[in-house]
Amino acid sequence: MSRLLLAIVASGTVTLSGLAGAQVHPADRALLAQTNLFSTVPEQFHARLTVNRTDWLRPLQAEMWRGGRDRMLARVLDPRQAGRFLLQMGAEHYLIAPGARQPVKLGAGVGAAGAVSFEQLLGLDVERDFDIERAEGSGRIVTFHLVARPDTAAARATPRARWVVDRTRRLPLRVDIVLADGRTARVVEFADFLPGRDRVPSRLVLKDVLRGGPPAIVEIVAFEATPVPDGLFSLTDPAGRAQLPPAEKPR
Amino acid sequence: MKLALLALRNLARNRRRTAISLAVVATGTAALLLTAGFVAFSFEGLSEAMIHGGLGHLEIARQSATEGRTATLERSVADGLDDWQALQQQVEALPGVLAAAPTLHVAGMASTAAGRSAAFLGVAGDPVRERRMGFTVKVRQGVEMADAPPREGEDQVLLTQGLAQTLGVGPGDRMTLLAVDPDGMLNALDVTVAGLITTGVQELDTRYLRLHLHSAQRLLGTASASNLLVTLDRTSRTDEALHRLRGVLAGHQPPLAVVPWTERAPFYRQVRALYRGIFWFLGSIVFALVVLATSNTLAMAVMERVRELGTLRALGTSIGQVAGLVGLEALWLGLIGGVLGDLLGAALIVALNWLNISMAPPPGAVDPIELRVLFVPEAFVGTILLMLAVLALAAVGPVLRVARLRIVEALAHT
Repeated sequence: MSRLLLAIVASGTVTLSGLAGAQVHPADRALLAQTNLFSTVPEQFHARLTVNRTDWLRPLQAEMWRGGRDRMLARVLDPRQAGRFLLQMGAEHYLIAPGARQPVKLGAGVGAAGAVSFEQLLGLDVERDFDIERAEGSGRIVTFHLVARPDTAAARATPRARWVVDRTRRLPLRVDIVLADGRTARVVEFADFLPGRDRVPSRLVLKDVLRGGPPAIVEIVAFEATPVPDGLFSLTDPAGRAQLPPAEKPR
Repeated sequence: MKLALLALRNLARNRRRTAISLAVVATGTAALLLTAGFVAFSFEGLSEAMIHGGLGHLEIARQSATEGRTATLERSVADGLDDWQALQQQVEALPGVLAAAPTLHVAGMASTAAGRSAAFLGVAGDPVRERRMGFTVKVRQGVEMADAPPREGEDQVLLTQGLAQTLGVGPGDRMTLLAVDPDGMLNALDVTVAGLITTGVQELDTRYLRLHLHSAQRLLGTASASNLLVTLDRTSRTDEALHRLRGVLAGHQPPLAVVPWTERAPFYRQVRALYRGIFWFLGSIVFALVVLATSNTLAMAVMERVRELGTLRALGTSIGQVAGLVGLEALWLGLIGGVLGDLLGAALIVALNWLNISMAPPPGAVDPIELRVLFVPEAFVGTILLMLAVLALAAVGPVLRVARLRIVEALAHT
C-alpha cells in the first residue's frame, strides 16, 4: 500500500515538450497528445481514492492534492497514520512524519519502487518525458512504443513503455511499463473515466506482472478541481498541513 | 590374576620398548583430550555468546511468524504478539526462568542530514530486562542506551561500527530511521546515536542497530512485540523449559510457537557439525597411528620371545594362557598409557590455559578469541577405554601368532 502512495507522490515531474520521433506521423503525435492524461487532468485538484486487492483485509483510503504540475501531497485516511504525508516536489519525494523534525527525502529507489506510481495512475507524461520509438495501428487501437528521455525522472522509473489508446474515443486504454531489458514490469488499465470529465480516470486496474499477485483496483471516489494552498507543499513550515482536518476514514 | 601380574612384570623386562609404546599411547590420549577440550570450549563459548548475545534460550512468537522461518532476525511485526505483557508475566512465573524480554524487529533505511543513507536491520528491546537476562552489548564508543523509555523526540540508537561508518555518524549525532509499519505504510523517526557497538559478526556489523522497545514501537506505530525471548538459569535446562512452556502456552490464541535457540542459530549447528567432523578425523588418525605403532611393538615382543613362549608351552602352559599373556600385556600398555596420557593431557590443559593465548578472529568474526581448553571428564574416561580397545585390536595379530606356535619349532627358534 505504501508503494502505491509513494508512487502516487511521484506525480508531476512533468512539463510539456515536443516529441522527438521524427518518423512518426503528425496525426499520431496529435493522438498521443490528446490522450496524455497529465495534460488533460487539472493541475490543481483534490481527490479521494480507494485502493483494494482481493488479498487485503480492507481497502486503503487516501486523499491527494495536486498543486501545480510538479507538486503532489498525499495521505492515508486512517487515524493511525495521522500526521504522515507523502510529498513530491519536482523529481524529489519526501515522507513527512510526526516523529521526524524535517521531511525525509526518499531515495530514487524508494520513490520509484512499487506496483504503481502517480505517473502510472494518471498515465505517463508521454509528451514531455518520452520519445516515440514507433506507433502501430490495428483498427481503432493504436500502440505507441515509447522510450524515456535520458536524465529525466521517468527514465529511472520507466525506461520504456507501451501506450495503448483508442483512436476513436481519443482515450488511453492501457500503459505497459517496460524495463530496460524488455520485460514488462507493470500494466495499468484505464478501466473507466469520470462522467462529465473526458479524461480524468475514475477506475484503474494495476497489475504487477513481475511479482504476480492479484491486481489492485484503484477507484477515484471524489474529484474536485480546486485551488490548492501553497502551504500544503512547504518543506520547512508544517502549518499549512496542520490546518487540514484529521485523517479520518470517510463514513 | 597371576597371569595379569605376570603380564605386567613382562612389560618391565624390555623397558625401552615399553616406554616407547607407552609414549605413543599417552601422546595419542593427550591429543584426543586436548581436541575434546578445545571443541567443548568452542561449543560452550559459541553457544553462550549466541544465547547472551541476543538469542536467549527460547523464543516465543506467533506460530504464523515462525513457520519455515525459525532462523531469522526479521520477524514481521504484522505477526507480532499483542498480549506480550501478559505472556511475559506468565512465563516469568515459571521455575528456572531468569526473565522474558520483548523484542521488536525493524528493517528499513537510516539516513542523515548530510544525505547519506543505508539499509538497517534493527532489534529493539528493554535494556533493564536484557541486563537481567545476561545479554551483553559490546559498546566500543559512546554509552549504552538509557534504561527508561525515551520520551518523544529523545529516541536513541546503538549503531554497529560498520553502519555508523557508512552513515558517517558517531555518538551524539542525529539521524532518521525510515521503516514500514504493520499496515504497509512508511514512517520516520529522528534518533540520536548513543553509542557504537559490535555484534562480533562482521557482516552483521554493517547493518545492525539496537534501539529501545518504545522507540521501535513509535516508529512502527504499534504496541506489539515481534517475540518474547526467554533466558534460563542454566542452558542445560533448555529442553525441560521448552516442553513446559509448550504445555503452558498450548491453548493460546493465536497459536504460539516456542523455538529453542539451537533452531535459531544455524551458524552454531554448522560449526558444531564441522568441529565434530574434525574431531572424528583427528580421532581416526590417532587411532590408526596407535594401532600401527603398538601392534608393531607387540609383534616384535612376540618374535623376540618365541623360545621363551615355546618353553612355557613345553612346561604345560596352555595355548590360551600364553595367548592371554600377550593380550594382557597389550591391555596393560593401553591402561597405563591411557592413565599417563590423561595426566599429560591435564598438565597440557593447565599449561595452555595459563598461557592465555589469543587466536586470530575466526572467519566472519570481529574480535580475537582466547584459547581455552576445557576439562571434559567423559573424555578422560573415554580415552582410557578407547586405548584399551585400540591395544586389544593391536594385539590380535601377535596373539594369533602365539596361538599358532609349535613347541618343537619354537624351542629350536634362533
